[in-house]
Amino acid sequence: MQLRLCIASVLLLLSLQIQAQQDGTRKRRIGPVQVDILSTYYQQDGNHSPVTGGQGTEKLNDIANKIILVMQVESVSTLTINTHFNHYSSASTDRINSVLSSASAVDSRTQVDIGYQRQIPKLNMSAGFHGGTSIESDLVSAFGGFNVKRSFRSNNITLGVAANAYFDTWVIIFKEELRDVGPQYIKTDKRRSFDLSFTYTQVLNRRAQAQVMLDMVYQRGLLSTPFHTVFLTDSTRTLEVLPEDRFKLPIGFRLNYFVTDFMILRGYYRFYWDSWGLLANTISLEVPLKIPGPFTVYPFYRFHTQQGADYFRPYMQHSTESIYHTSDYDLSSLHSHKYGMGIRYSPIYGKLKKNRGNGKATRLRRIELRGMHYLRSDGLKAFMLTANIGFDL
Amino acid sequence: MRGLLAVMLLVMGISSCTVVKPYERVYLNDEDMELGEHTSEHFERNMETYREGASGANGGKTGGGCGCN
Repeated sequence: MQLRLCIASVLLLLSLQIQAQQDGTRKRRIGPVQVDILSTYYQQDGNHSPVTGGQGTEKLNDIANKIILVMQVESVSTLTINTHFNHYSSASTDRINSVLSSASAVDSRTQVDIGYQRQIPKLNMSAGFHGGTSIESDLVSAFGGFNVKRSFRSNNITLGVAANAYFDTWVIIFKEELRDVGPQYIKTDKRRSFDLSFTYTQVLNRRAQAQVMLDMVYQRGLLSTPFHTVFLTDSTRTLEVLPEDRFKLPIGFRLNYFVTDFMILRGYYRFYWDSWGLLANTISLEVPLKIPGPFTVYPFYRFHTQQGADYFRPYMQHSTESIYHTSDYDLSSLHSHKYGMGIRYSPIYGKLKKNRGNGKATRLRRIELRGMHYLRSDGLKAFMLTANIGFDL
Repeated sequence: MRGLLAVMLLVMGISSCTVVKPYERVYLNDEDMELGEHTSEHFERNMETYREGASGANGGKTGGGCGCN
């Protein structure tokens, strides 16, 4: 499946490239095709799995790959094809059932997203749209969106608006011991998510620029997970039940500052509120250091703290009277630390250049390796290693 | 809420900044000065969306699609 999608993406890209070359000046391909291949390995472990009621192993391993193709189809327009595959094994979801396969011990997910972006030089703006689908064993999703950006004052100020919609459909399979109580709580197998996003970007001086981002997100439908278990105070087991709508309001602020000729500061802060009572603050700092040659080393640190959702209680602490209940620690009061380091090799004119005739060349643009460690206050620990290779065709 | 207020005051404060000409953008055009996440950060952003209740305002997912609430 993954191989077929990958081949289809490359064929589509090549056919567009050939068509662009045949259509003469107006649709002449201007730049090279940029290809980025990312691979990552992720592992986590903790002792609060929502599948088993807020207790039990959260051990999970995930291997993911992403291929991003960017090509100019005209001098002012760009086509992007983004394919994502991941394959994971999860100890807790293995306990859903020994016969049926839904979200299971081993699972895969595939996603394709195709986007088109066009510059409108007269108005100093750009507009674009994208759409795609993703498939997992128990969830199928279709999504799409558009965006518009406009710059002012010699590109020193940029305003952007984007809207996205996600349409998800679940294959509902309850845990074996909860099948009798399931249908009365789960009224729909669908989830709709709508996101309206605003960005304001400002160049502050020759060495600094800042950005403010505001998202307004509305979700409706099945927002709980059918195979999550909750233990009530009287020891009975039931399903996770959450409201069928949720409104999220995050606002973020970025500031990048080129401090000296070899050091940059990249700062980020986010405030988050939602209608489930979740309130969060996130702050991060990254310090790229330009070491001699085409190398950049960047240590980073991120701190997140949140006040949990109103519907969260740990194992066996939900009242038998409660309407909504979850023991998913992702929605609990917590704080987390993330730290790590990355190294990037990106020579200005590329490396390993190989001419292919007609002025075309293949060259290596970037190699990057990034590792991070994540610690959550409830004991969950995670590690991720990501490799990125970028080249031009 | 105080953080939100601080951000809004900062936005108002920076709106009167000087205009930087295209030929003065040597530092601003550096790859690490881009206002957004690195390509190699995509997976971490997704993971944070799954492992924490908060999401959005970072150019990444805000909910919907597979694997998150």
